[in-house]
Amino acid sequence: MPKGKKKTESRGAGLEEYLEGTVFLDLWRDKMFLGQEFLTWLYLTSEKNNHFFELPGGDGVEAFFENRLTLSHGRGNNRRSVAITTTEEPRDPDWDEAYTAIGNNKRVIKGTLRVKAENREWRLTLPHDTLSPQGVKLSAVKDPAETDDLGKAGKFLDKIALTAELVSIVDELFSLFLSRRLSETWLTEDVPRLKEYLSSRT
Amino acid sequence: MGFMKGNPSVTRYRVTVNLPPDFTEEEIGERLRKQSFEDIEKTSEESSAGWVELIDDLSPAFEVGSYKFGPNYAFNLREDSRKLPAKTLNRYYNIAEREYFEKTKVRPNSVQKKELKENLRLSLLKRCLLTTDLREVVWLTGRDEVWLAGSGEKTRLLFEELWGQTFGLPVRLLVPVTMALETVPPENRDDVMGLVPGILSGEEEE
Repeated sequence: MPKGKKKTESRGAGLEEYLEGTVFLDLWRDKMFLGQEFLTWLYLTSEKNNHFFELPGGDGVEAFFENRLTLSHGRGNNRRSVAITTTEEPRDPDWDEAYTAIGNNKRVIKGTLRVKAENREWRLTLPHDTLSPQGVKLSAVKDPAETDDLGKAGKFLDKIALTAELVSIVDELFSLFLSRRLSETWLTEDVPRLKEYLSSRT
Repeated sequence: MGFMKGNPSVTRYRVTVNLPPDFTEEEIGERLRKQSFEDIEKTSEESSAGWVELIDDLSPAFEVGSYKFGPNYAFNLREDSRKLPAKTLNRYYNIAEREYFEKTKVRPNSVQKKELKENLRLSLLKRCLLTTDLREVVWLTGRDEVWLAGSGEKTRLLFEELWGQTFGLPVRLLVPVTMALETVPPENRDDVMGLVPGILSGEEEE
């Protein structure tokens, strides 16, 4: 189970100096595609691997987009978006419209994600621009008696801890994507594999 | 939505410096008190922003024990604001201008008009009801992160300004590119900066 990272020098040590002279908003806008590519990769990889991910730390989690996915293509005034929703529970695993949209160069920009780790489960909306969890529904399995006894501060701490665990999982999934995206075999192995999977679904 | 009630939404910041040794619980409480929320109920101020406690969001007292929860610090960013609709101001101004003319038999000049309008604006603002906006802030010192409950540029900018005034500790918004630059070893940062869109084609996409 991924926990909050220990305080180490790896959290962007020297990054301020590296980014000196860079306009943050320009950098954010220029690299906005990273979030879209991550969500698209997450969707395809999740479907391909039956929702299972082995995280860099060695833990396994389930993560999949549930019932709403927004895909987009183009920039600014030329942006074309499509929202795909389903009311089926569980949804049809062959979410044809999504595959077709990705095949037509649309990229995932937002989706409702379900994440499961051991006996904990989260539902959230994940937007591409920040990758910060929105509207997090926490459904941890708890002894009801224990929950009743929790005071406000205790309940608050409980929510913080569960959200921190979710944030760590999202960070690790992003790290997993990034390690593949920057690897030398991205073009020779990962891209063909994703395209092959997409072709088999459309 | 925040952590006390509802389904939380998070805007994440990285605190980019180590916590200074003199930032004890008492010191943090003192800094919160100095930038705590000031009530504008009986004034004609248009807005006021500052910190209030997490559990008792009416209190800006920050007694020891009211803002530290386990290893985290937590409090609320409170902003009260009132808005006077332009149409309302104009309506009352027209009445005031007529009364001025009836009393003096001359029309107000441009300086007098401006003064009349400003006095009227301040007087009417006092009669406008305040809107209160509360945003939880959680400082997870163990992760070097600050979470602002909610999203939106206006709230973000207000938080960044007040955080800087209160603690003077720089924060960086966590978004995909800064997350990526933090994730990779420093020698691979240029690789991140050199990435271009192309997840499926392997070539640059629109």
